[in-house]
Amino acid sequence: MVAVGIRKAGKAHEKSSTRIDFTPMVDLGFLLITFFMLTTTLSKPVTMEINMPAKPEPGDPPPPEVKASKVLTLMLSHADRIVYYKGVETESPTVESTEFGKDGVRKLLLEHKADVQQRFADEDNPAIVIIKPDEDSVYKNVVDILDEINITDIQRYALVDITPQEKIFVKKLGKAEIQVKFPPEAANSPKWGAQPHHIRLFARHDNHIRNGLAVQSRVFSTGNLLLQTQFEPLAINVVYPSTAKAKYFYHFFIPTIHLSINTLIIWLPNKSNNTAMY
Amino acid sequence: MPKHKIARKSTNIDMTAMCDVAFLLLTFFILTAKAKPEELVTVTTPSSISEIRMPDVDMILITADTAGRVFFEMDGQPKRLDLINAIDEKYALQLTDAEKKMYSIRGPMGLPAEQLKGWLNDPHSIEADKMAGIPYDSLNNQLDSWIIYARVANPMARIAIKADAKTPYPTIKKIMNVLQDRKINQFNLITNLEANPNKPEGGETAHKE
Repeated sequence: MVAVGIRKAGKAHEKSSTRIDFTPMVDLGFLLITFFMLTTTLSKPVTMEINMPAKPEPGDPPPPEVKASKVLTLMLSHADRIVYYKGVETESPTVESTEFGKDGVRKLLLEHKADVQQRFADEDNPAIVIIKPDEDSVYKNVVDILDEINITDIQRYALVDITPQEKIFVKKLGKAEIQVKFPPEAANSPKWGAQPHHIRLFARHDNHIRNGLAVQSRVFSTGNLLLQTQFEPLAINVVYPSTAKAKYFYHFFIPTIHLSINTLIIWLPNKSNNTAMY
Repeated sequence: MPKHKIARKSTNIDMTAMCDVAFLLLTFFILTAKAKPEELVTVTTPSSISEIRMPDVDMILITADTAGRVFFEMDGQPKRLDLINAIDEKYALQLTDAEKKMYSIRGPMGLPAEQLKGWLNDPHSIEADKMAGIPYDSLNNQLDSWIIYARVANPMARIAIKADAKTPYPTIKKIMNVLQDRKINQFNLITNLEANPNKPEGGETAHKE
């Protein structure tokens, strides 16, 4: 104690500064700021209001009829595809397909709006759009299409269930691109790799093999085969001869589930081990 | 030539001002901070150009994830207490007061009513990713009960659907059907904000003629 007292007394004349180093305190301050910034919700979510039509009840009067020529029906399907037609489904309308985006559905909606407005000049914004998402569409598609309707300022639209007839429209207008990959290992297999062979790839839209509408064939030993169809294939067949001279063919039957972007990897034989990976 | 001697200056800077700024900012962030709401499932909402902000209060939030599981939440502890009382009565769950209190403190939930008691006793017994979701098919439509009693507990409440961008549409359709069967034809879809192509930044809405 005495020693401390002496030291203090000795230092008294040095007049130690009252300044404190603030650096650690600033560090602490900014650390806390960072913490609060990160835990705060920065962007509050926004909402999109949607008004559904009331469900009809037994006693209700029938809904007012609208002119079919005002109506554009959009069907949403998997892989962000939009299939559409104008008018009524029972009068075999021209069915076409488009995509999301500025040059796809937005252009279509603007054209439809302008076209209807021209024909019904005495009405204010008479165009009607009916949206029918199918089982393969996702929530994003619905939000996106409602968005496009808001962007193009179409006042009358409805979200309705898809009909069986329209499902057929969608199916027929599907597009598929199937890529078959023959891995290099296949070329080295004793049966296959010796010489190039002729391979055919069929895409079918129903259960009859004769209805293979798209066929792609090529002579090759390894590499890729690309098949593009103008419809949604039900199945893909890959046909190749069992030996160079053979008249017999191996068939792969590959059921297709959502084939819009797909790569099949085919391992060529070994006759005993006839497998397809996909 | 006279020698020019540059005066040596201390490299110490006065940190007081910086410290002031730091704490000023800190105070600002503390005061404006609002803790992230508890989320049982992570849901990536799709984006839209809609600019309507989601209100903080009087909301009933129905969350649907990609697997089609449905979660339910409502804001306000006293209202949640009313809600759980009604649910308890409807499904004869025999919840104790402590369990009801627990529900009113906890927000989101995605369980069939039968599992509710166990979960409220020990919230860690069922992890969020193990929750089965609230049943909403026509045979066992518990989501309907939750919505109805929530509306009774808070008649002002608006209903919002928050779903993942990749949620299959049939799931959404079923939820909408549940709402429409109860004559709720107006609801909100929660989205993220994206730029409106008709409205360049900072400009007036450019109407396409």
